[in-house]
Amino acid sequence: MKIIRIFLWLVFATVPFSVFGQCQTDEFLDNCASKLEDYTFIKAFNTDLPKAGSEEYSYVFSKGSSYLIIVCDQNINGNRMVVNLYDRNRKLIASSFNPKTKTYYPDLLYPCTATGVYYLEASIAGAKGGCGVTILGFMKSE
Amino acid sequence: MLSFCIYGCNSNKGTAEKLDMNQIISENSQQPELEISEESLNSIIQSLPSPLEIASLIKGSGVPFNESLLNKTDKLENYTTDFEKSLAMGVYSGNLGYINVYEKSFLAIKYLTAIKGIADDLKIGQFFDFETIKRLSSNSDKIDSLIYLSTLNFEKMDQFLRGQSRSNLSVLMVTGTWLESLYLATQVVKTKKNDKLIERIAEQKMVLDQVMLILYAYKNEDFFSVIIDNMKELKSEFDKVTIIYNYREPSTKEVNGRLVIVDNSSTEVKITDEQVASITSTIEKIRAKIIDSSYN
Repeated sequence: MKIIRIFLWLVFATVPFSVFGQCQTDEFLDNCASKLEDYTFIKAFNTDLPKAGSEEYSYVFSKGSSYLIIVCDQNINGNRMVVNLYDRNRKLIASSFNPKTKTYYPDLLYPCTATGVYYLEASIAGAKGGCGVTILGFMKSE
Repeated sequence: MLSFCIYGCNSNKGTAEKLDMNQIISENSQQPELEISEESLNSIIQSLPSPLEIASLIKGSGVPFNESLLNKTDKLENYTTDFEKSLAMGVYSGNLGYINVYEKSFLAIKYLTAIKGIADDLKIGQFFDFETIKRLSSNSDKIDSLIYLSTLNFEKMDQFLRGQSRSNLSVLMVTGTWLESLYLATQVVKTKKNDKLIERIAEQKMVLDQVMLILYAYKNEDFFSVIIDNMKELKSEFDKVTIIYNYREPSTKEVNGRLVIVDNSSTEVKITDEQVASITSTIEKIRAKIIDSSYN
C-alpha cells in the first residue's frame, strides 16, 4: 500500500498537468467558445505543452472584419496562457498580458485594417507546462 | 530540382522555429519547384480564411440569396475518385457557409446530406455529427450553434486527414472551399458592383499564393498538376492586381476589461473593372471543370 501511495505521488508530482488533456475536451472548448457572444466562430487553436514554451498559429485576417481572440486556459495562478498577436512582419501588435499592470486579458479585439497573414503565439511560462485554447471569431466591421 | 525543408522540420513542441509565411510564399513564387515541410503545409492549410467571412460580406452588401449560384447536390455521381470528392467537398462546404450565413435552413439539410455522403466515402464521416447538425439546421434560432458545430466538424475532418498522412485531400478540400468563396463573390459583383467585395476579391491575391504553395506540395501527382495548371491561369490574372501595405504602429486601449487594438496600418488595392472581369471568367472556367469533373 505504501509503495502504491509513493508511486501515485511520483506520478502526480512529475507528470505534466497537460497530459491529462484538461483542455482537449469538447466541454472545455464549448465553454470557451460560448464567450464569442455575437462573433462568428472561425477556429480553435489548441495549445498543450509538457513544459514552458509556445506554439504559433497563423491566419489571414481581412480588412473590414473585426476579430475576437479569446484566451482560454485553466486559470491556474503562475501558469497562465498568454497570447500575442503579430503582424506579417512579426511585429508585435498586442499581447493578452500586460507586464506593467500584471493584467491577463481574457480576450483581444482586433478590427483589421490591413489584410494579410497574422500570427498568434500562445505561450505558457510555468515549468510544468499547461494547456489552453485560443478561440478566433469574426464579425463584419461596420 | 532544388528541394529542402523550410523551417521546423525537426522542431520539438514548444520550441518550433517560427514559420515566415512571407518568406515561404516569396521563395515559392521565385522557385515553384521548392518543396515545403509537412509543418509548413499544415500551417498554411490552417491559415486560409473561412468561407463564412466572404459569405458574410456578400450578405452585408445587400444582395439577396441566390440558390442558382450553388453547386447542385445531384452532381455527386460525377465525383468518383478521392481527389474529385475532396475538391467537391470543399465546394459544398463553401456553399454551406453561404447558406448558413443567409439562414436558408431548408437548403442546409440538402447540402449537409451531400457533405455527409462524401465524408463517408472518404472515411471521415465519423467526425460529422450529422444528426445534431440536421436538428440545428431546422431551427432558425440555432444558426450560431449550427455554424459553430459545422465549422468544428470540418476542422476535425481536416485534422484527421492530416494526421493520417492524407494531407493531399485536405489541400484539395481547402482549395475547393476557397475557390467557391471567390466564385460566389465574383458572381455577386457581376450583378451588382460593390467596392468592398471587389477589394476583398483583389486581396485574395495573397491567399492564392498560399493555395498555390500547398498545391505544389503534391505537384508530382497527375491530378494536382492539372489543378495547378488551371490555377496558374488564375494567378496570371491576379498578378496584374496591386496591393500596397502601409505600416503604422498600432495602439491598444482597455474597454470593459477587454483589450481593444487600434490598428493604424492599411492595405490599398489597385484593380480595374477589366481585371475583375478577367478574374471572374477565369474562376468560372476553373470552377466549371471542378464541379463537372471535366479537368482535361
